[in-house]
Amino acid sequence: MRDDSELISLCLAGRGSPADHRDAFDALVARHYRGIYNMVYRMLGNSEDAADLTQETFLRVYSRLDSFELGRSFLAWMRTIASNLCIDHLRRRGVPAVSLDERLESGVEEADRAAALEKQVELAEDSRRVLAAVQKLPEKQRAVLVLRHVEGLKLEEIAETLRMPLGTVKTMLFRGRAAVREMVGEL
Amino acid sequence: MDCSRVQPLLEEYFEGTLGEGRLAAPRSAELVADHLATCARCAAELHQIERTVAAFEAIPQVVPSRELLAAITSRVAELPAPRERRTASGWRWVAVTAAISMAALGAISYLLPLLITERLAADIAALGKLENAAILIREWFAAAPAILLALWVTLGKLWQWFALTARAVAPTVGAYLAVEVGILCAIVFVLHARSRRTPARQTLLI
Repeated sequence: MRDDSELISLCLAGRGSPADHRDAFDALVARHYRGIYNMVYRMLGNSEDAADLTQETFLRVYSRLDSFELGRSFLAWMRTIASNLCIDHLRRRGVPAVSLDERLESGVEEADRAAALEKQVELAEDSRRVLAAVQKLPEKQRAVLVLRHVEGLKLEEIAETLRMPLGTVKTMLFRGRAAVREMVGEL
Repeated sequence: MDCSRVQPLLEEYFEGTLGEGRLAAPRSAELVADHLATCARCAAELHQIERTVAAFEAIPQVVPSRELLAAITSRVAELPAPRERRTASGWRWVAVTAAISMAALGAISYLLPLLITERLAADIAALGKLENAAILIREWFAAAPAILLALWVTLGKLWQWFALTARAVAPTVGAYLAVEVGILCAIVFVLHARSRRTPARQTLLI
């Protein structure tokens, strides 16, 4: 199986038809769309926005592919693009996201299949409470927490992804977790 | 350490970054650990942090719909291929810099011979103990445009291959300047080598 760099090279190699390039890019999408969707979903808190922003991420990745530096991590580059889109989206939205927890409690029926699948997932009660609390954090704190605990990135990787100083990442992480603990109460 | 000093440090202690970059780094972690061993309240606080993080990390993956994949690929299909844009912009970039460089080199090769007066040439010759320097210099500057063009085309092609195909280095202004400096070094080297030719030819040129 070809790795990311090989597929990107195929997209940019200057050989073959546009359809060949898209085939290579489609393979990249198929490989990464679940991961990006998960990350975006955890930041935004609802499947509809997550699907839109995931699409937007890949369109932006495709249109900027010629600026990607081969040899670097493609996934890290996509995470940066996705995180920035999420932060911008949350900032524009300006109101706290409606959490999955609240959606289920309020009996709002999900229309799409993604939501139907989501309902099948049994979240542990603690996780549900933590997730609901995370959705109430400011956008950048939320991004830091998701990258740290959903994506499992190191602090240095988060700093690089979000283009933030390491100290700022630490501050946001610690304050974000403290805020979550305060909202969740004792677990 | 008492509780009021330990509790603000617990997040950092949990993360394993307590005191990083500070002189007292190892000692801070040790002091907090010592306190936690004897203080049930702070230990409970740390346990709460651990539980919260564990709950966050236990959140299962969500599965996006198959339709999402189809939607992404169909929208991507509407965009122009990156190669097309890359090639076009790459060529445009090469063409613009080539035009500017050629204009600059042409101007230099036209103006410099005018600046080399007989007197200056004689001075240079005296300095370098080189006979008939004026003739050599004029000859070389007359040939300069052709030499520079050949160098430019060769290096330009190499650079284009390097920048567009290998893509190991971003096509930056700095890198391009390096190529320009390389061209100048090559010219100086050729001129120097030529100037060391046998005096027999120089005599003939007189």
